[in-house]
Amino acid sequence: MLLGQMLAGLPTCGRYAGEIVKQMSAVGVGSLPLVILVAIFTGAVTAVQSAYQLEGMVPLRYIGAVVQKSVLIELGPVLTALVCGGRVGASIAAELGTMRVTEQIDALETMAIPPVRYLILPRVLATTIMLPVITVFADFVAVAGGFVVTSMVFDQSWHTYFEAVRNTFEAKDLFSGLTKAAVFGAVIGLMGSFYGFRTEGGAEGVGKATTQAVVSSCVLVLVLDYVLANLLFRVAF
Amino acid sequence: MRARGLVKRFGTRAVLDGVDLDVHAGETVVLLGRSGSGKSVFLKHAIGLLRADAGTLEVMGADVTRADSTAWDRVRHDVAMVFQGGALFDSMTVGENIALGLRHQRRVAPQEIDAEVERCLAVVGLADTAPLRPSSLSGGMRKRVGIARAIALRPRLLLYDEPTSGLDPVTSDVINRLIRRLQRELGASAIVVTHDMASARFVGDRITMLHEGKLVFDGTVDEVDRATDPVVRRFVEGRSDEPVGEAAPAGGS
Repeated sequence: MLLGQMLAGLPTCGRYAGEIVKQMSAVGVGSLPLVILVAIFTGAVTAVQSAYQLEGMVPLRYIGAVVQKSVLIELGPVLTALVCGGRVGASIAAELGTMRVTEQIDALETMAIPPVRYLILPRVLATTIMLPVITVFADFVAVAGGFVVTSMVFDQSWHTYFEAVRNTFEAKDLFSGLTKAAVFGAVIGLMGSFYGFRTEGGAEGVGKATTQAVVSSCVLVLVLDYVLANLLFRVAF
Repeated sequence: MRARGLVKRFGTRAVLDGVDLDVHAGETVVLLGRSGSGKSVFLKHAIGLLRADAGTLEVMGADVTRADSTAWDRVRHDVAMVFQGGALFDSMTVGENIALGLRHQRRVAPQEIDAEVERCLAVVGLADTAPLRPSSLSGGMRKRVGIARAIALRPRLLLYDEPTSGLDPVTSDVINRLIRRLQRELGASAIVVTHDMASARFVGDRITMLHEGKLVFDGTVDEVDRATDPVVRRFVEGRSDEPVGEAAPAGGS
C-alpha cells in the first residue's frame, strides 16, 4: 500500500525537489567516506585472494582483470549496498520512527501535507539515484586498491595491472552492476521508510524499527543479488 | 463540528462509546476527562487522524464520516491542531516549522512568507525566535510555537491537545491567556482537551466531560461547579475514591 501511494505521488515529485536534493546529499555525501574505506580493502583483498587462487593456473598479470570483473559485477554494488543498508537504512528508519512517535507525522497530515509524498518519496528516490553514483566511486577506488596491493606485494607495474583492467572491461559489466545498485538503493529506501513509518511504542519501537530495517535491507539485497544475476547474465546478456 | 453516536474501539475496548457533541461557530468547548478517557482520541477524529467505527461526524459542514484523504485535506485547510508535545519538526528551524504549512497550502505569496512567520511568532510572544531550533526551546516555548504554526494557517476550528500539561503555573497562565486572546482575535471555534480545571474555567465557553468513552457532562462553567454527578464532582474537586495501593514497606534504619 505504501509503495502504491508512493508511486501515485511520483508525478508530483517536482513539488518536493528541495527535499529530494537534501536527501540525495545526505545519502551520497554522507556515505562516501565509509564506502571508500570499504572499497579500498575490498579491492586489496580481492587482489590477494585472486593471486592465491590463480597461482600456477593463470599468469599473475591478469590480477587486474579479475579484480575489475569481480568489483564491477558483484563486490562494488553488493558491498556498497550492505554498507548503505546499515548506515542509510538505519538513519531513515530512526528518523521516521522518531517522527512517528513524537506525532510529527500526524502534524504533517493535519497540515494537509501527504506524509508519503513529503517524507518517503524523496528518501526512496534519493537512495535509488545515489546508490549507483556511490557505486561508481566504490568501483574506481576498489580497482585502485587492488593495484596498490598488486604493486606492493607482487611488484607488478602500473602498466601491466591497468592493461589487464582495460583489455577485459565490458560496458555490460558496469551497466549490470549499476542496475543492481539502483534496485538495492530502492530496497534500502523502502525498507527504512516502511519500518520507520509504522513505528509504535516510543524509544523501544524506534530501536526495533531500525533493526528490522537494516536486517531486511541486507537480506533483500543478497536475495535480489541472486535474482538479478540470473536476470542480467542469463536472460538479458 | 457535529458528532453523533461516535464509536471507536481499540480491540474489544470502546474508547469512544456513542459520543454526541456539537461545537458552534466561535465557541470554545473544553473536553475534560481522566487520562485514558478518550479525549485525545476524540480530537484525532475531528481532524481525520483516526476513523470512527460507527456514528457520524461533520466538520466545517462536511460529512467526513467516511471521507477519503482528499476530502479530509480540503477540511484540513480550515482546521488546525496544537499537539501536546508541540510535534515540531526537529530537522527544521522554528521559522521553517511555521512556513511549511503556508508554503504547502499556498495561502500566502512566497515573498510574504517570512513576514507572516514573524507576525505569527509575535502574536505568541516569540518574536525573533525564527532561526532557533526546536531543541533549544523550553516546553512552554515549544507549545507557543505549535500554536503559532496552527494559527498561521488561519483555521476556523482550532484543536488543542493538553495545551498546559507539563508546564509550571505561570507558563500555563500565559498559554491560557493566549488561547483566550486568539479566540477573540481570530473568532475561530476551538476544542481544548485538558484535565486542568483552572485552565478549563479560564478558556472554556462550555465544559464537557468524557468518562469511560461516554460524554457524562455538557454545560457552562458555572454548571460544572454545581454538578451533582459523582464522577464530575470527583474530577472537579480533584478527589479519588479509589484505593492508592498496598502500604509501602517500612524503611530500614
